Amino acid sequence: MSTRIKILPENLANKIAAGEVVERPASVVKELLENALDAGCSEVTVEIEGGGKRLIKVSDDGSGMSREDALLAFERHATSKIILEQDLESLTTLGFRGEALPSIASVARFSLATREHQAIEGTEIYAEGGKIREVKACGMAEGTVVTVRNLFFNTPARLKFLKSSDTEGAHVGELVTRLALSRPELRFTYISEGKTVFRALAGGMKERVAALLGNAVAADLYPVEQSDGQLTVRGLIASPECSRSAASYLYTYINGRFIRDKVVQHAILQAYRNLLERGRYPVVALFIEIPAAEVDVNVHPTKHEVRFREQGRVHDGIRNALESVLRTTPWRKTCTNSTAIPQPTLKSQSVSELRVAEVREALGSYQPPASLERQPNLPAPRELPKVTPTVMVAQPNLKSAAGHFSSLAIIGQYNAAYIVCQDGVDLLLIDQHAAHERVAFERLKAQFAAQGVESQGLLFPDPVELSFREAAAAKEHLAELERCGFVLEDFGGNTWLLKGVPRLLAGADYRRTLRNIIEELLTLGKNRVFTNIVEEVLTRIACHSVVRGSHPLTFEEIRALFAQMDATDFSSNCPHGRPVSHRLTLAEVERLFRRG
Amino acid sequence: MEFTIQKDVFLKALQRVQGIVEKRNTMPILSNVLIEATADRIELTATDLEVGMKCAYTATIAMEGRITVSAKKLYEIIKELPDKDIHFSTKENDWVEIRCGKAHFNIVGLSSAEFPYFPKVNEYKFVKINSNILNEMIEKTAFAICHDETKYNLNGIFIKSLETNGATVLKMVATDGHRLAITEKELDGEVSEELNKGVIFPKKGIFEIKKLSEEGNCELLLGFLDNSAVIKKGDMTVVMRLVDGEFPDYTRVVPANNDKSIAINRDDFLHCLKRMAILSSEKYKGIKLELRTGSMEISSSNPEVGDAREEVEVNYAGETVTIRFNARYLIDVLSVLQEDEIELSIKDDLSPAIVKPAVAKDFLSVIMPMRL
Repeated sequence: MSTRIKILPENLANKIAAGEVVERPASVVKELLENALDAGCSEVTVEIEGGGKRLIKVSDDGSGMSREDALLAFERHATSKIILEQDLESLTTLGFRGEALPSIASVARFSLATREHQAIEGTEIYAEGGKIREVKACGMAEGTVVTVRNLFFNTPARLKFLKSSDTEGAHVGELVTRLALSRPELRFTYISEGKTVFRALAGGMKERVAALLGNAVAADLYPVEQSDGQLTVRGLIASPECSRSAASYLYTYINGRFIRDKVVQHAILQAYRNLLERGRYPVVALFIEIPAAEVDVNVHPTKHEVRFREQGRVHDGIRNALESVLRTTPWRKTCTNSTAIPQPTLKSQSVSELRVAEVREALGSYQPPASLERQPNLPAPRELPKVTPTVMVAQPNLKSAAGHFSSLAIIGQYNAAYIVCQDGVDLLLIDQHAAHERVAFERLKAQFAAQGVESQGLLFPDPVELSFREAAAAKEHLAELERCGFVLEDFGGNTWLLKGVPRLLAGADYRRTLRNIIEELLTLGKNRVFTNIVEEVLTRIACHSVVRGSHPLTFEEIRALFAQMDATDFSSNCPHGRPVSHRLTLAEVERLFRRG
Repeated sequence: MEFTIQKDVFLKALQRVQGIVEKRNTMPILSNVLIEATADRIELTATDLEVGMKCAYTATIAMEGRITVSAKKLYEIIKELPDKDIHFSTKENDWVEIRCGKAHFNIVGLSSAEFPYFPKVNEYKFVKINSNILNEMIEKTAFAICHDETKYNLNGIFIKSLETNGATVLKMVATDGHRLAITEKELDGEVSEELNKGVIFPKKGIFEIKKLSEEGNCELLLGFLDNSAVIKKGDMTVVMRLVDGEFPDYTRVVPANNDKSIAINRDDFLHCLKRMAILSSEKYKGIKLELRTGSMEISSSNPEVGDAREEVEVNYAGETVTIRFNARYLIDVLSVLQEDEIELSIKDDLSPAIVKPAVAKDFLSVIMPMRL
């Protein structure tokens, strides 16, 4: 009797694997580029035609392969990147599954030419639909050239699902950008339809970002670097003004690998909360380094998702790193002399060029300051007893030697709502409500943090039905929930009794908040929902407790407000994310009068 | 329809129904008041479908009929008219004409046919309650009514009659989930089946009853009709739909073994709390009570402003215990009580506390503490 269960033929197995890994031309480019990078190249060229549907060609000057190795590479689960099971726990290469080449070869006309270092000749292998048709010696430079033609020629169903050449080409471009960002020390060339889209020379991170994302974005970026031994976070983050309406400019890498991870993304957005308006996303290129054993990248064949052993710690590490930079609002240019001397050079150079140069210069000497030494010259209003923050108002004589705001030359008030100042040669408009709101918000936040959360007991314990996952999360994070004022008691099964709720939410829909918190604890291992709700309430209080609308201020009052602003974190935006100040450069003003 | 009425009678009548009429609603007819002229009087009816009110006033009727007009606009007009007889008549297409002295108004009305049905009430099954007693009972419980619309079963006062030692007792209970107030009074005569089971009077209806009972010492009649409660006082009838829900078992949350109790002068305690509450910022801070041998210390602090403490001498000899409360909850209870001496009894810092008069047994309030 014949068996009903059969082992699939190799070729079919490869095609199935291709379904997971090879989805569109961009995924082919990704696999081939990662191989090139893993081969230790110093230059890599990607060339596509027809959006990658007609031709994909990736050439590198890496280590190359011998004839035998090259032939073996066409076998499934054949790789040089790992040998032992333990290697999976300390991955240093981008690839490791040994599936990419055979998978791609099974759905395209595939040609691999490779020459090892010091070998006399190279080897060229041609395969079609997964079958090796021809193996021959060839003359070539050291390295490997992989050419993929007519992708999906033998799987018409897949072919039908491909989008237009332009769309597929855009995907490839995005992918090359991601990988090129991660390795600024390599030379990347990207050619599409015979035209060089970009050629990124080996250099620093900053130049690479400027080359790939444009000078305008690069000018708004500020370096981050923080390490706590295990976790290192470095990279470039943009000022809130440089925000985007989608998350596509979040370039996040873990151990050099591009990822789209919700824990990482959430941490970044949390750091930017209250700086960006709702629905806006920052621009960041962030490189996270973490011991390979702390992270599992073998979650999905495309390796976009990862799992952290301690996601809560990673989340906080990233957030802290970003906040330490954002807090100081480095994008606010500080001006040393407050008297205006127009620079004649302004006329010859465009403003953006000037800015780029200026920021570049500033970046060269930029050191993320320890948070306490932030304003060394300010007579430390933070050291005053917290009970009497109003004392700051009583010190009007903070002179220009202090922070950014205090160094501005106040011209006056416009429409009883905006403060007009001069900063160097620039005209600065400051929204007094937004400025005051941020001051009040940060003060309230500090107070709230110092107090702890009060929990109002419930007379009639409220039964809450949780799912198995939620119940497990509730049990695990009982102490954390209690810190937020939620007192829960196991009532058997998946029913929990809510016996106390935070005083702040006693009149609101606390059940929904509780569920949101548990859901977040589940997915992120960290609870920011409660903090966000508290901050929302505080934002509202702050908004109503400060000067609103038209409110004439005397110079003394303005100076007092500026002194408070200098002592406040995140002072460039109000807690709703609106900017506090707007700068009109001299060049812009001159252009208004046709003088430029 | 056509009638003539004295200005102050009409004004008082319209004032009464203002509280019932909803300012904003999806049915325009509900913002109108129904005026019916029959024989020697006019009847005014207003309803928001939950609470309805009907009252009758003497007038000189020239022609019988019915009409509805905007309750608010009519009230505003009548209020500003001179002190003379008002002549009110309807014209074609539901227009209404009001004349008073030389003033002359034409306003748009709506046909009375669309006005919701107001039940006819028979009087034989009614329970008699003294208005002063009713007023006091509502006063002592209404402060604890829950204003969170999602907890609809707590948006009112639970009223129930009980037989204890051969006497009939009427109980009123209100809670918002954080505190609870119970008051009871003896009742004469028969009680209805609905009261034996217990019913929840809606918040808005309760405030209308309270207004009625504040108008002087008299007998109020209380009866039930389908799912509604009917309150009658002379020519005035208030009908309210009872809250359709289960009132939580309040007897379970009244603690039985609160062994640490103190007697304290109500007025002193109340004023002390009001002083301390100044520094406990309303938004996120409570007050702290510390019971020690011979004294109680009440304190509050607010990092933005400062802190405050006050010691009150009390007759206490147990172990030292600290408990936190929302100051508002204590102040609310103490404000509605009349007695000079009240009793505060607690078990520990997490269990519910009881506040009640030191002697009288007709009131009790339970308050959940806060924890930090």
